[in-house]
Amino acid sequence: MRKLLAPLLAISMLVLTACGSGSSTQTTTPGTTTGTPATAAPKEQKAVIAVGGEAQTLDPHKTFSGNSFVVTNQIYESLLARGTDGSLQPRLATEWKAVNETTWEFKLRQGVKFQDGTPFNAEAVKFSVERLKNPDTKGPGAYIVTMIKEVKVVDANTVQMITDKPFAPLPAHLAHPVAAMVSPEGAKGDLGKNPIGTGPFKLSNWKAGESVTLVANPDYWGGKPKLETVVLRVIPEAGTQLVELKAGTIDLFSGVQPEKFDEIEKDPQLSATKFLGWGSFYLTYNTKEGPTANPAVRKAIAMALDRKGMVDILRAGMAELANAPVPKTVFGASASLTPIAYDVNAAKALLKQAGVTTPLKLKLQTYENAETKQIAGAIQAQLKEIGIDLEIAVTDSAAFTKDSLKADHGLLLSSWGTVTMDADYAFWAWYQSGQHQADNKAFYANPEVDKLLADARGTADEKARLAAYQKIQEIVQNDLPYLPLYFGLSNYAKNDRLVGEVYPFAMINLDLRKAEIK
Amino acid sequence: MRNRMAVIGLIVFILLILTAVFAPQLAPFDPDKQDWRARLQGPSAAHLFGTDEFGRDMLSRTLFGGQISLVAGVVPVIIGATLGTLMGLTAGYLGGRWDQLMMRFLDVLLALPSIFLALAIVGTLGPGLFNAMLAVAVVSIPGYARVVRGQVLTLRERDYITAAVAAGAGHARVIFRHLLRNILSPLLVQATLSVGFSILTTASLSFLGLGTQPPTSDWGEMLASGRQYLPDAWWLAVFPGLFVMLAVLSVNLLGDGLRDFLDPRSRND
Repeated sequence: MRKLLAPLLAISMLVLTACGSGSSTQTTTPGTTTGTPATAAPKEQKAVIAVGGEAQTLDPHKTFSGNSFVVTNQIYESLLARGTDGSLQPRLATEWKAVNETTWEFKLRQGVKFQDGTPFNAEAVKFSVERLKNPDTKGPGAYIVTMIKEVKVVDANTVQMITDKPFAPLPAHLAHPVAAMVSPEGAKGDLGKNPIGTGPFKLSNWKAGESVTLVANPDYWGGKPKLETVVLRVIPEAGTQLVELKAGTIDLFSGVQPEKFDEIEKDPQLSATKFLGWGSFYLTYNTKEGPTANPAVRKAIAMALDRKGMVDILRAGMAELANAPVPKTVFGASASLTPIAYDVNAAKALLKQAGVTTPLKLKLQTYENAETKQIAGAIQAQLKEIGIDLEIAVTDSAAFTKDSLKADHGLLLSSWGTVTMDADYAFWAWYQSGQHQADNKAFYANPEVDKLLADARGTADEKARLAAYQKIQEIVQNDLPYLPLYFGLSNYAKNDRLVGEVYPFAMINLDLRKAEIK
Repeated sequence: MRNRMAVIGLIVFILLILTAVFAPQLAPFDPDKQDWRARLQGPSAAHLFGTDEFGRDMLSRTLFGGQISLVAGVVPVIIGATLGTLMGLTAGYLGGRWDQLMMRFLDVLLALPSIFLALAIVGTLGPGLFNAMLAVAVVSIPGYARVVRGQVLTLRERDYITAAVAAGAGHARVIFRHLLRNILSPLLVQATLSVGFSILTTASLSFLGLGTQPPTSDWGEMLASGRQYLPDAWWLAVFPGLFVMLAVLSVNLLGDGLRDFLDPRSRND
C-alpha cells in the first residue's frame, strides 16, 4: 500500500489541478435555478451572483474593500449614486447645490425608512457622516469625508455640509459606497453583522466563507424589488465562476478571463459585456531610494515595456492602453497626452548615457492575482532585455499593502479604481506630498503639483479644474513617479434569464432594483 | 520480478536526471524567452509540449524545471537524513534524558501534518526554493530518526558492540564506526523512498507559490501557472504533471526494490 501512495499522490495532484477548485462547489443548489424549458409556472425570483472573496464586515464605514462593498451597496444607500453614463444621480438626496464656496446643500428624499423602521432624515445623515469621520470608528475610508467640517441640519429634509476649504468633488465623494447612510438606531448594535440601511435588499443569512443571502426589502422607497432573493456566493477563481455560469448555478460574475469573453458571447444563453471602467493598472516607482530614484532608470523602464502588446495579446483586448494616469471616464483625465513609446534600443541607450551599470537588480512587489502575476512575468522578461534583473515578490494583498509603505521598496504593480470618477480622488492620493504614508507610494513630492492639486479641488470652476489636472498630468509624465500601463476594461458575464440589472462601472455598484429572472 | 521493476525505476530515474543535466543541450528554446504572439499553442512540431501563457516553450521549461525539481528531491533528503540519523543514533545509543528529549521533539514534529508543518516553516522563513527544501528536510527528520533509533536499540545489545566498548572505544567511535555502518541499508531504503516525497512536497509548495519564484520554474510551479488556462490548454498541466509522476514512481520502484534486496525479512515474503 505504502509504495503506491506516492505515485497516487502524484496522479491526484494532476487530477486536482485539472479540476481547479470547481469540484467542491458544483452541486450546491440542485434544481433551484437551473435552466428549465419555458413553462407557465412563475420563475423563482432568485439571483445568484459570484463574488471573488468574502466580505470582512457589513458595516460600510469600517471597510474599504470591494468584497464588502459588493454586499453593503445592496443593503445601504449613499446620498448620491453613479449612473452608467458616469453622471451623478439622486439616491437618498434628490437635489444638491453649492450654496457658497465651502457649503453644499442637500435636499433629502422624503418618506424613506431604514430597514429597522427608523426614519431617514437630516439627523440620520449627520449621524452617518460623523460616524464615518469619527476616528473611533477606525474607518479606512474616513478620508472620503474628512474635509467636511460640519454637517448642519437645516430642517428635517435638508442638510448642509460645510468644508474647511473649498472642495469641488464633494458630491462625487458622497456617491462613494463608504459614505453610506446607516440607521442611527441600528448602529447601536453591530452593523458589521446586523446591517441596517435603506437599500432594496436586507440581510437574511450569512454563511461564513460561503455566501451572503439577501431578501427583498418590501418597504423600499423605490418599490419592492422583483427579485425575492439575492445570493452572493464566494467563488475565488474566475475559471470556476465561468464553469458555474455555464452550469446555470450562478447568474452573474465579473472579471471574465480575456480569453473567455468571445466564448461566452457566442453561447446563446449567456452574454458578456465589457466597457471602459474607472480602473488603472500601473507601476509605482520608488522615487526616493534605490535605482529608481534615478529618473533615467524610470524612463528607461517605461520605454522597455511593450504596453500595447500587453493590452492586445496578453490581456486579449480586455484593456485599453493608458495614455494618462486615469481613463477618460474620469473627470480630469487628459485626452491629449500620448503614452511613452516602446523602444528597447532607446531604453538601453538611456541607461548607458545615464551611467547605469547593468545588470541592475530590482525588486517588484505585487499581490496574489492572476492578472498581476501575468503582467509581472511579462515585465520581468522585458526588463531583462535592457539588463535589469527583476525579482518578483508575490504576497497576499494585506502583506502587499504593508510592504508597499516601506521606504525601500523598488517597483510596485497594482491597480486602482477612481471610484468617485473625479481625478482629485486619484491624483491627490498618488501625487500629494503629504500622502507618503497613505497611497503616495512613489514618495513623490513636487511643490508645483501640490499647489495645482490644492487649486483644483478648491474651485468649482470646471474649466480651471480641467486645466490644472492637464498640467499635473504633463508634469508627472515627465517626472514619472508612476507608470500607467493600461486601463483594464470593466466586464461581467451573465445568464440571459437575469434581466434588468444595471452595472455602473463596477461590481460594487451593481444595481438590482429593477432586475428579475425571466 | 521485484528486481526488474526496480531496474526499470532506476533506468527511468537516470534518464530523468540526464535530461535535466543536459537540458541546455536538449532544450530547443531558451526556457524564459517569451514570444507573446505564440502564446497558448498546443503541441506541434515546433513546440512538442506546446507553449504557455507567455509563449514560452513548454518542453524547454519542463527540461529545465527538472533541474530544480530533482535537486529539490535530493537536497532535502541529504539534509533530513543527516540530521535525522544523528538524532536517532545519539538517542538510541545514549538513551536516558537525551533520548527522551529527542523523542518528544520528534513527537511534536509528527503531531503536525507534514504539508502543514512545511507551510508553516516556509511561511516563517519566506518563500523561495531553498527555504522550501529546508522545510521539506525538517519535515522528513522524524522518519529517519525513528528508523535509525529502532535499529540502534537492537544493535547496541549485540556482542560486537559490547566488545568494542570493552576494548575501550569511545562513544563517537562506537556510533560512527560500528553502529552507523550496520544501519546503512535501512537508511538507504528510507532515503530513496523519501526522494519521491521530497519532489512531491517541494512541487506542492511551489504550486502554492511558496517554492521556486518566477521566472525560474520547477514542475510544481509550472502546474500552478498553467492552472488558469487548463480548460483550453491541457498541455500546460499534463507534461509537468507527467514528469512529476515519472520521477516519483521511478524512485519509489527503486526504493522498494532496494528494500527487498537489502532487508532479509521482506526478501522471504
